[in-house]
Amino acid sequence: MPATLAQWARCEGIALDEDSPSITPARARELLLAATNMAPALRDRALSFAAGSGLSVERVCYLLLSGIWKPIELDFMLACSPRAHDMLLGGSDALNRPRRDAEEQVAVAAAMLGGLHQRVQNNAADQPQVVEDDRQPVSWEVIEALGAVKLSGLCDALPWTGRALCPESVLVLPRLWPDSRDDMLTRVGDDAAQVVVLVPADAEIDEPAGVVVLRHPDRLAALLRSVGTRFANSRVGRR
Amino acid sequence: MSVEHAWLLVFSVSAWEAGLSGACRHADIAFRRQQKAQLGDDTEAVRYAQICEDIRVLSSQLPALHRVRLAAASIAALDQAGPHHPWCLSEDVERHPFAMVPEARLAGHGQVLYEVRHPFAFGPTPSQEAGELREPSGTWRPGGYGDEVPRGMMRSEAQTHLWNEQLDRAAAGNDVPLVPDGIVNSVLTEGLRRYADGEGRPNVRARVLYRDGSEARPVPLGALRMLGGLPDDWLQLRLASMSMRHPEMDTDVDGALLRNRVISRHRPSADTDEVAYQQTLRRLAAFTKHGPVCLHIYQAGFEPAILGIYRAVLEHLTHRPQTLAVCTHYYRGPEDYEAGTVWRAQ
Repeated sequence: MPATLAQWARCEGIALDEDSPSITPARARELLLAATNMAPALRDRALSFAAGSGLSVERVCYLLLSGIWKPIELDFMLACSPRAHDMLLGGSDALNRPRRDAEEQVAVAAAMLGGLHQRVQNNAADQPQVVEDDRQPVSWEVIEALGAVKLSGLCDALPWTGRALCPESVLVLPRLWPDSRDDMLTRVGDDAAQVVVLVPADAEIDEPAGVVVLRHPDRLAALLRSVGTRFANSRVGRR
Repeated sequence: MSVEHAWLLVFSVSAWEAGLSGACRHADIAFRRQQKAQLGDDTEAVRYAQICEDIRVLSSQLPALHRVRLAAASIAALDQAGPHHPWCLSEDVERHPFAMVPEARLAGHGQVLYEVRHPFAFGPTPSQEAGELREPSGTWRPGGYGDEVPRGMMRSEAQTHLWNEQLDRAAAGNDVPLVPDGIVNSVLTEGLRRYADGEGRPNVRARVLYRDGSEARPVPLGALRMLGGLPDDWLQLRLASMSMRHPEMDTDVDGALLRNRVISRHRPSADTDEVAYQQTLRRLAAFTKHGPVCLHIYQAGFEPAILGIYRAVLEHLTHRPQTLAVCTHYYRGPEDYEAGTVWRAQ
């Protein structure tokens, strides 16, 4: 048993038999969960999802550790889509277009959220790259019923919009096809956070009153390709 | 979570064809090409998805004659319908999955139905069924060691135990799949050869499951009476199992059985297994078309390819036993190979 592994396991509260030349599958699961280091809300949601869907916990951890999905993206998909199980396994048949389209809409929305979260954490678009971890700790909370995510702890101006806005928190609705008659845009008006709709670069959208539009740098075709690659990686990943 | 809504829109044929006939035609071409594409090749599927998104944008600019929301049962039925376009002429509804949904009846003659989905509709959050976490796998230990962890056992020895135990259970008729991932190719091949022999064994078809969760065709065990010895008077053919994997073998072989470029693609292992199986089967038929062949396979260690190759060998030997003998050669060093057990059937 490598000494560093045993030491780290002790720090995580996992008891390993240090004289044994092997690790049991049960201990391996504990170590994998510890190594994945999910935020408490995501961890609870992931475990609940694994228990309800029959997907293994190891599968969920693998998707995060391999970088196929970022934590905020996975949290959003698990919370906001009944198709999360199929999506985590690589999506359904690409030729069953309506079903696949529903999955892609959620996956692209999640991918845009991941890009936004990364951007607001780093927020160094106009500055030379500095090789230091100066990320701002921007937390997120998924609002399931709205299909939205609340980002809190923002320090700088919102990116991807022509407006100079510096809110401390925003309620982000990621959408491929925002509908001006969308009930959510009227229902979220009570929330104190600034409401933003996050869309692909080439989305045709009239900016609703009281809502800011953030345009992701990538066009829809590029986002779909990115999602297609993630689905393909999920299909060949360990089950 | 948000609720998914699906809507069935009805347009006039004239408006639809004026704006979308070209895009629909291109989408249909991509759809048909994808259906014929090799396993793991999704080039046309990506193109199809992009064209369908263009169709969605164009259709949003057309005036809809009717718009009806699909019931949950209709959405579920369409989900299970298999490959299909999200649009259909009303005259062709009977041949389209829309025939299963009652909402499609609102379309009249000379109209087009088109389905769109909105996964973020506001609605009551459906709760997921509570359940239990899948238990971690049980701890495996090589047979004969009880609960004691075998110290000093080499990896190849442990793999041999693991593979043989899997084959043993499968040959005994247990519904336990073979999992070939991570097994050294010589252990894999010799184990299959041993259990392919029907002497004292029932004929069973063992499931094959890969670590990525994909399941391949079953492998027949105990189906043949295997022989030893290589016939000297048969045509001798020396092939590497896969090209461009071990160039050091190139001077010792006449060619390669499978192309690395075709086999080593980003796809589930079972799909790779299937491609290797189909191609090997075709090539064995071609090799033996004019007489019996003794095939020497100089082997690379890619598990899906090995399973595919030897499943094809077993199938060929089942139907044409006197036309083929296979000898595997395992690479041990420059110009140093270890010969495996001969695959030849009565």
